[in-house]
Amino acid sequence: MSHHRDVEFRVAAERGDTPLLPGERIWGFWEFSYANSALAIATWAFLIGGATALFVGPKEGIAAIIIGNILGVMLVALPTCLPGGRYGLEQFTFLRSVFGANGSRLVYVLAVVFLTMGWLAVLGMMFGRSVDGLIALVDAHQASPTGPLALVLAVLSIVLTGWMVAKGPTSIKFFNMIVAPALVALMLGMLWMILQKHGFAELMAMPALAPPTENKHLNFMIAVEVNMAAGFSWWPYLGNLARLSKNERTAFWPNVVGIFGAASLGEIVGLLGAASMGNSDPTIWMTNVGGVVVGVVALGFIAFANVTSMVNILYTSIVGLRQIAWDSLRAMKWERLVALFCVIPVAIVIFTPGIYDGFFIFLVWTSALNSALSGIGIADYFLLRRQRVSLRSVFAAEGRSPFRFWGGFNPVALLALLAGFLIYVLIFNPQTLAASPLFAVLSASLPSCVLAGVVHYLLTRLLVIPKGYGDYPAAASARVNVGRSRAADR
Amino acid sequence: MDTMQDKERAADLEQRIRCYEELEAQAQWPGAMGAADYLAALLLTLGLVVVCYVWGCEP
Repeated sequence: MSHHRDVEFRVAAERGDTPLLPGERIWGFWEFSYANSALAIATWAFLIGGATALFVGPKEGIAAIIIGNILGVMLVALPTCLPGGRYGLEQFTFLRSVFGANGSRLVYVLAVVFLTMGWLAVLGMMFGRSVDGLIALVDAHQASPTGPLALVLAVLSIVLTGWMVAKGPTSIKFFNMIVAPALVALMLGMLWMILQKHGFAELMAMPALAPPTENKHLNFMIAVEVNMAAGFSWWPYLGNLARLSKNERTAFWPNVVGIFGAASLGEIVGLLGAASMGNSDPTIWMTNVGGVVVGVVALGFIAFANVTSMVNILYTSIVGLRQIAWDSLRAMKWERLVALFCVIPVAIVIFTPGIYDGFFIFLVWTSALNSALSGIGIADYFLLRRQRVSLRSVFAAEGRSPFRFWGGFNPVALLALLAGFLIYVLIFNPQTLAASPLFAVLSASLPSCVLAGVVHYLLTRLLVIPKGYGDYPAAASARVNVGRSRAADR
Repeated sequence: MDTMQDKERAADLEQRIRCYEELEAQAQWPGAMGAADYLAALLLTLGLVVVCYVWGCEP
C-alpha cells in the first residue's frame, strides 16, 4: 500500500469512516482539556447564566449551575466518551449498535440537526443584538434589541456563517485559537469589574430577576434543570471529540476540567453580570458594566465570537450529516447542503424572534431527548454489552449486520427514547414550566435518564436478545457455541 | 467490491478491526477506566451536589 494511500486512510479514519487506532489519536489529558474548554467557553454560557438569574439569586444560581452541570456532564460523558475513547469510533457509527443504522440516522436528525438549527438562530440573534447595541453605544442612542436592524444583522450573521463553512475548515482552526483564550480573558475581566462594583456579600444577597413561582425551592429546581439541560446538551458532540484522545481515562476526565469547569465559569459570570445589572440579556448588561469603551470592545468581541461558535457547530453538524447520510444526500454539493441547512435558522429568526428571550425553553426541550439518550447509552454499553462492542458488526454491510434489527431500526431503543421523553414532559413541561410534585425532589432529566435506561434494558433482555438481534453477549456466546459444534461435526 | 481502491479500503478496515480484537483479547485494556476512576467520579459528583445543595438551596 502506497504512502499516499496510508495518508488517505488515516484522513478517512479522522473523519470517522473507520475507527482511529490508539497510535493515531492525538490528545492526552491536557490537550483534550484545552479542546474541551475552547468548546465550552462560548457565548451561550452568558445566555445560560443570564437565564439562571431570572429564576434565582446569585447564591442559589451558582449552586444550581454547579449541580446541573456536573450531573449533566457526567451522565453524558459515560455513554459517549468511554466507547469513543476505547474504540476510536465516530459517535453515530457506534450508535448503530444501539439504535440500528437507520435509527442512528433518525437520532442524528433529532439530536443534532434540530439542536444546531435552534442554536444558529439564537446565536445569530445574539450577534444582531450585540452589533445593534454597539452601534447605539457609539452613536449615543437607545439600542433596539428587537428592532429591524438587529433582525437583519441576525440574518446576515447566519448567511456569513454559511459562507464561511462553505469555504471549508481552514479558517475555523485559526479563529478558535484566538476566541477561546480571549473569551476567558473577557470573562475574568467582566468578573473583576462586577466585583469592583458590588462586593461578594452584596452579590450573594441579590434576588432573582423574574422568579417564575412563589415557591423558592421550585425556582431553584427549575434553575438546576436548565443547567442540567446545558450539561446534557453536550451529548451530540462529546463522543466525536473523545475518540481523538489516547484512551478511556484521557477521554473521560478532561470533561471535568474542560466542559464542566469552563462552562460553569462562563455561566457564573453570565449569572453575576445579569443579576448585578438587572437584565438577563448579556448584550444589554455588558453595555452597562464598564462604560462606553469596555461596552464597545465587549460587544464587538461577543459578535465576533458568536460567528465562530456558529461556524463550529454548523461545520460539525454538516460533516456528521454526510457521515450518516444516504448516498443521494452525500452526493449533494457541499455549498448547496450548507445553504439548505441555513434556511430554517433564517426562518426562525424572521418568524419567531422570541426564541432568543425564551431560549432556555428550547434548551430544556432538548434535554428531554438528550437525558433519555444518555440513559439508553449507559444501559446498553455498560449493563447489556459490558463495554464490549464488535467492530465487525458495526462495519458489516447494513443488510447483513447484527445491528440491522428491524429494517435498520431498533424499536426497543426508540420506545425507550419515547418513554424517557414522555416522562420528562409529564414531570416538567418545558414550554409552560409547569411541574409535578416529583420535579421538586428529582428534577425531570434524572427520571427521564433512568426510565429510558430501564425500559431499554428490560425490553432488550425480553425481546431483542432472545431473537438473536444486536450482537449482545448472551446471543454472541450462543452463536460461538453453535459455530464450534458445527466445526466439531465436520 | 470491484476496484483496487475498494480492496485496499477493506484491507485497511480489517487491519483496524484486528488491532482492536487483539486489544480485547488482552486481560487489561490499556488506559481503561478502573474501579477507582468510577468511584472518584461518583464521589466528586455526589460531593459537589450535596455541598452546593446545602450551601445554595434555601429551605
